[in-house]
Amino acid sequence: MTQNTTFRILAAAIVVTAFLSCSQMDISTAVDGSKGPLVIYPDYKEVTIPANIAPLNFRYAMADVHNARTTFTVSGKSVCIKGTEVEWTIKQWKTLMANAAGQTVSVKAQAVVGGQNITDSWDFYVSTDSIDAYLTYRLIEPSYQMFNEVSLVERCIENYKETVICDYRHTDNSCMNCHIHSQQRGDLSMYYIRGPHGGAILNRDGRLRKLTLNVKGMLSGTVYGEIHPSGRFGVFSTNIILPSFHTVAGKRMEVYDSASDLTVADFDNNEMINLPHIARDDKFETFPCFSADGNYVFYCVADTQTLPQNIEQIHYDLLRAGFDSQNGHIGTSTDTIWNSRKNNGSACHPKASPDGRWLMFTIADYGTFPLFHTESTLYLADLITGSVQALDAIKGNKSDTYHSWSSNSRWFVFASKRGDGQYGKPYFCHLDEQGNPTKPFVLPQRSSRFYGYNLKSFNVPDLGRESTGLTVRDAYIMFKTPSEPFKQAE
Amino acid sequence: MKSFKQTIVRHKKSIAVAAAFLFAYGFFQFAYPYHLIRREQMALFLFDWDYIGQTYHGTGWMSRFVSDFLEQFFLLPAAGPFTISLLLTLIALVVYRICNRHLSQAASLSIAIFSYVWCFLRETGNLYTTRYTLAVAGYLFIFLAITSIKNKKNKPIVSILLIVLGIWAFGSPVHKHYGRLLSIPRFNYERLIGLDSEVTRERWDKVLKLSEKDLYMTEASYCYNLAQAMKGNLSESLLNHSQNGASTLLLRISTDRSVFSNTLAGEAWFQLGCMTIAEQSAIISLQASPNHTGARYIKRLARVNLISGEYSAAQKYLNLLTKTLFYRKWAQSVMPGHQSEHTRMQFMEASMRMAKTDFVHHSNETRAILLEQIRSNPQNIMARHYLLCHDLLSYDLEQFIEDYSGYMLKGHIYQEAILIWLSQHNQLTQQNAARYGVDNATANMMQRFFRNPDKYPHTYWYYYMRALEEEYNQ
Repeated sequence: MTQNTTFRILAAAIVVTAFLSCSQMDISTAVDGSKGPLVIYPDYKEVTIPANIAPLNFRYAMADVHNARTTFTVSGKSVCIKGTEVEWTIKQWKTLMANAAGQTVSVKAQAVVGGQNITDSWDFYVSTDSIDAYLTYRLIEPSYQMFNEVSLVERCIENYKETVICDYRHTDNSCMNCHIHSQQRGDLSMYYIRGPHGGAILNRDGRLRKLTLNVKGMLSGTVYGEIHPSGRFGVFSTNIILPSFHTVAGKRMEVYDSASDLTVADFDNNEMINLPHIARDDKFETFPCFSADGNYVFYCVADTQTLPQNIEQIHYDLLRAGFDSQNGHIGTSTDTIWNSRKNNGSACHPKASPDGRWLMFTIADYGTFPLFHTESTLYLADLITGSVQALDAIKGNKSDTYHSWSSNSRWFVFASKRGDGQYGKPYFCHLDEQGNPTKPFVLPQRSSRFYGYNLKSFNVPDLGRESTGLTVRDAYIMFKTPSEPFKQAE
Repeated sequence: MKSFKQTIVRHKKSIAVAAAFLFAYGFFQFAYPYHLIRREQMALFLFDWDYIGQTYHGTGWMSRFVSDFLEQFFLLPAAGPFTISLLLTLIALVVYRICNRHLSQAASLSIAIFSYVWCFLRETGNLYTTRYTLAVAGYLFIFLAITSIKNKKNKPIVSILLIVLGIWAFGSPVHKHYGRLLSIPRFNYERLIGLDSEVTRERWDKVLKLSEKDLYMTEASYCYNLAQAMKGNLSESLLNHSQNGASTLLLRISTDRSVFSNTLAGEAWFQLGCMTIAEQSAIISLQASPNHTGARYIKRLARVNLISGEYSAAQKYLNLLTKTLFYRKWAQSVMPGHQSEHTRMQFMEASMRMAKTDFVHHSNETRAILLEQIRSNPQNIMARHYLLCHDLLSYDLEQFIEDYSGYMLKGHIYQEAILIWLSQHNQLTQQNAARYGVDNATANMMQRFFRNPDKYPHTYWYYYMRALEEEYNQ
């Protein structure tokens, strides 16, 4: 036998082994599959979707399932997909969705499971409300105290196209914080690169600046916050953040602030506006955001406590204060949107809907880091009537946090750890005029198996009307650019 | 003799090849065994077409794909050294063949040997990276193919095409992650990662043997203590080597510690039943592994979540492991709903060690965490020993007496510490000593100790006395 023949036989043997192994080893089941005789994952049964969403690819997540046929019917048109992995081409899906808005798509499925023929059927409703097409998020392992090779990604949710906005390769493996849009605008947004060459990267009218949003006397650089609709100001918290552990296993981590204040950045004059009433020593102030018209600031506030010993006693109220968009001052008088003492919980992550009607926030039993709080639930405040409701209908078995609105205020996305409890995934939910949510569905992926082997959390998903146009090259240039200093406003 | 020499001359090429192979094999099998095992622990290869398609694309896909495929076999005895030796020998052979077209046999052989030695040494100072050895071999094959082109007219175009193909398949030939240009083996590092590997495989006798030479290092001392604790000998052997305070008992997880230290830190917490810290350690290690995967860490995460009763999370990790060649059986055997009675009992026993009441802490609050572990499960003897040893290594005799009084455990250092405490409180009587379980022999030995302390270096008296001396000198 020649060397070549031996090599070919070896190569063939490796390929055959790999092929057989790949074919035989798929015995896994889903962590959070659907109900019904045929379990599908992701669970896209009985959901409401926007017509412009990417194909809802799923698989039959059952052991020993074969010969599946899935037929989708809407407006007299039918599409049949054979196989246990129901994966569409974009063209095929878009054709089906072309006239489906406002209609119900009925799905009939049959498969052989464990040698038995099983049939199932379900519907999904295609809303007439479209959703903003771009979603940004940070991909990170759920350790929240160390980082390595982090990236910020912008995904077009009408298809599967992902653009990396900023990554470790172009920033010397620096840590970075999540990208946030203002008013869902692609040309008004911000993210942070941390570390010695870092700064806040402000994208205003498509022009990028690197800013040092920190002046003497502030607790830290800015952390959580939002940009004013005018683009001139940003409201932020400054926090001393400490990670810690629970002793009880399922509770995992707790992250708390040992101190926190609010501050306002004036991007036109490179000034930080620090006022004593929003930087009180006896209070923790955090998670500020603007109302849709920019006339108010919503934020969370709690009495200081000895931490972490009294962590369960720390409860954040949700307040509203006026905002003067001429001088960037937050008003001294406040309204309480949600009272922690009355309701026995802790509010965080408020975000106002772009139409000005709603304020959504997360409630946990205590603290400021609900990511591992299984009880954490999204709440909705009606800013016209003042009523507040828990969105229990969409509550998962693990935490639901970090939501973001679509520009028409009919859709929102939130990060949920439902299922495995470890990795956050973006879930979309429709909200009608009365504030009634529909069953959430997870961000569709090209591969129906994606979430099975994904080991990163989709951190702080944020919706945008249009693409930011940001690239890793921009991040690299910004990383190399000196940061603009800010001074204390007089 | 003459015919033997002739045979050697006739077969010198084959002998050189065999020697090169055997040298590399011998080195990685016997002198440097853990480097390749660690590679396997940090890699994951899933037999899933979809995963393969999504993971291995872009420049360098082939070297990443083949190296991940090969590295899974490093788990098997001899497979790692065999594969690497084969690759290194192949590199030498190809270099020889290229050179021999233009140079003499002796010059070609010299260059081949140089290339072999260079490739051999290049990665030994750090963790061996199969991917780059594969890339070197790949580029050499391309170079060989280019030099074999006879048609001069087509040669430039074909050469460019082959180089582009090479960059696509093997990645850039110049890459900052290609390791150092030259390095030499670091045997103490090899012993440390050996310790880490044996700790995670729970082979405690091997841990004790491997740690012997490096007990002056915090990590080695930590592994030694853990192995002794697992064998039920912590209190008897704690002062058999010089301990650097209580920091060698339990490592804290922190951003200012190395990944190696943070990975190792999870091992003792896992055995003690503190699953949140063990889980964090595994996630941090996963973050630091080359592809943010790593069979060892995924297996640990599965075990942690099975013990914690977080079955959905466990199932996610187990689903991944069922798609591997070598962890599949284990993953299937522990999958919730498919466990044998024996397996179920094992996990139940482990879950008994977990804390039942919650409090929030930083991983450096060793004492508080251990106390909670004991409060939740008074039968957690390992945690009790760790608590007492922590008190003693911290020179905190008041805390020690408090912790010891409730549950008196055997151990000569405990008795020695009690005698010090009794004498400090002017209560050193035979009756009091007996009340704390101190036997007469120990009391008599203390008198002998004061006459000649250096004769008793493994006693708590000696440890305590040295601390007092240091304090006095300062």
